[in-house]
Amino acid sequence: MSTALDALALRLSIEEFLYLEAELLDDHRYDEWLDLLADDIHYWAPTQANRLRRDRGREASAPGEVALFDDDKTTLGWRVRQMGLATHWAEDPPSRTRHLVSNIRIAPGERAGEVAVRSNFVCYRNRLRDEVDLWAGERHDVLRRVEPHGGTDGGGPGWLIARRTITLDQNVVLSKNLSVFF
Amino acid sequence: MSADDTKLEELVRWREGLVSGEIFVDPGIHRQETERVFPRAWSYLVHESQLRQAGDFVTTFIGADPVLVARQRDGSIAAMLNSCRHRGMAVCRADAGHTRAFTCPFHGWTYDEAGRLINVPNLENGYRGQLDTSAWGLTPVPRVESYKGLVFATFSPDAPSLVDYLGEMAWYLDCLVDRREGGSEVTGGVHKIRMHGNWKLIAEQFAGDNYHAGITHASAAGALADRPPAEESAPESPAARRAMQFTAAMARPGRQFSHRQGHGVAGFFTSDKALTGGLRQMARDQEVVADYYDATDAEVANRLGAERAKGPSGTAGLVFPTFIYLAGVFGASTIGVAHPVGPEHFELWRWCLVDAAAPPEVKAAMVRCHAVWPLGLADADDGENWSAVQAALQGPMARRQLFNYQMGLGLAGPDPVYPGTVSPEPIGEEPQRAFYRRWLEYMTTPDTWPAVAGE
Repeated sequence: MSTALDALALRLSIEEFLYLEAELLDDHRYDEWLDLLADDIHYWAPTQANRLRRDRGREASAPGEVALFDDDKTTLGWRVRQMGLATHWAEDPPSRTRHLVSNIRIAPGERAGEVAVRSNFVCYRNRLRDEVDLWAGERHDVLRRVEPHGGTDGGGPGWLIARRTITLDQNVVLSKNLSVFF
Repeated sequence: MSADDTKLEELVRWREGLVSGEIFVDPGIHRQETERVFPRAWSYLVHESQLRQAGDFVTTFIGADPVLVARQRDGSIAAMLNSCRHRGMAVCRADAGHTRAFTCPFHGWTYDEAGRLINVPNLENGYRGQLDTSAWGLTPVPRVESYKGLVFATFSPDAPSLVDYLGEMAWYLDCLVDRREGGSEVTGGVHKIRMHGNWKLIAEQFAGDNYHAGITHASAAGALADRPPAEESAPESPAARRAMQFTAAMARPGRQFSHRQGHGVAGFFTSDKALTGGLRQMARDQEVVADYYDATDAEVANRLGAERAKGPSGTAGLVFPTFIYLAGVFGASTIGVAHPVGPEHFELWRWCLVDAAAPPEVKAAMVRCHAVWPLGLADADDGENWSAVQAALQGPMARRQLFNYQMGLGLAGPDPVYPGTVSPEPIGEEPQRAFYRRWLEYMTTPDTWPAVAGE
């Protein structure tokens, strides 16, 4: 019984964390979003090629090949800083985004204190007068449990994203940029 | 000269540096481009390193036409229309792979890697054995030639050879593809993105628009600076001031190259150690790349000459009409092609180009730099420009405007160091004028290879 309750508590904690992350992104609170990422994060989105069925498994570009995102904490920091600049014309006026996260699946991590979490996402972007982008995909995350810091806000969210691999379900990226985080 | 040609001459007044917005939106003009520009110009297909074995193939486009490119058993590379001779269906719908045969899914006509028709279902019963299969192979792209790994093709029987077409542009391309023994290769994977904008907007930008870099990419440069974001957001902020400083930094001694075939090198600085300037302060990957550039500097200078080891090794360029490159910009080199998708869109396909002789850890650092800066921080703001131009030109009064392409008018000429037609500043619009001059010649020449007219 306690095992089932533990699993439920874990699921609630992870769902709450992923929803918080989505909220920070949709509210343009990118500095706070950056705080959810571990210092050793690899944030990676391979490209998706059209391959014959017999080459299945080779659709995604491999590590070390061209990618849509291939970032560490430093370069994500650059992207976040760019979001705040008055000369980032692509996001000024800012876009409206809505991240929907679902199909959360939780498995044990490879290391103590970590869990492997898969989730599906839809991200809708509306920009300027009538520009609309719709992205769907899956994320494979490694979440690392951290102690709540116990500050006056009642503690941190309890998790850091230690690794994220994003499958964006598009061959040609159909938006004019990816000035967004998934 | 037909009435339409007269209209085009009024829309593209390159001598005066005036170009009408009509050429970016008009469907009739675009249809004429698909017939007169892309099949005749040398179009970029593939890098040789993507087709290592016989039977390796990629699919791509020459303008609006779908093309299949395959390595042959004799080691050559052949290109053919990716369209079955029976009903036109694409015989290959994968981006890349390896195969012995392409079977059309519609009725089963099957072609080998050279495009020869090797199997026709119902040949004996239906055609009574009378079909001459040797006459019904895939339509070949008759001329395929390479320059140091870069494979181009044309349908034109009377186009000059690729080397003659490139002319002095080859001297500048060598800074990208021939830095070291063994030449260059692309890493795996290709980045494809659909942009809302006419293809000429990106073509002219890579040919000559060093001007935009300081403003459009102010935030991509500013993001690398180690400042807290809070002080950056107000108008007249440090970010805006830094953008102006970046623009001021662009006003160093430099040159632009333009070519009568419509090629261009957007602008480079002549006094720099171009490739490593600023890289080392950025981050680990950039430092790895900076160390590599420094370690190979003497070898490159020995191979290409000191003048090519500097300025032209760090810039953007265009081979007319749609092959684009960035050489050594923020830690990575990019090659790409901008496929037109109707008058309103283009698709940008890009690969990361590395020296074949570079160590694996350097190639890995370069491909990460490639994802972060040109494809990440810089791309975003380019996409916004093109879509906002395209949106504005939907109005009839807006698209009738003549836009100003007059910077540096009359300044270009021979240079004591750099070959070809060279402008004495790193920022100007001579390559754009040369691009549109050549474009106009293609567009007003109906059948044969468009002659390069004298002054």
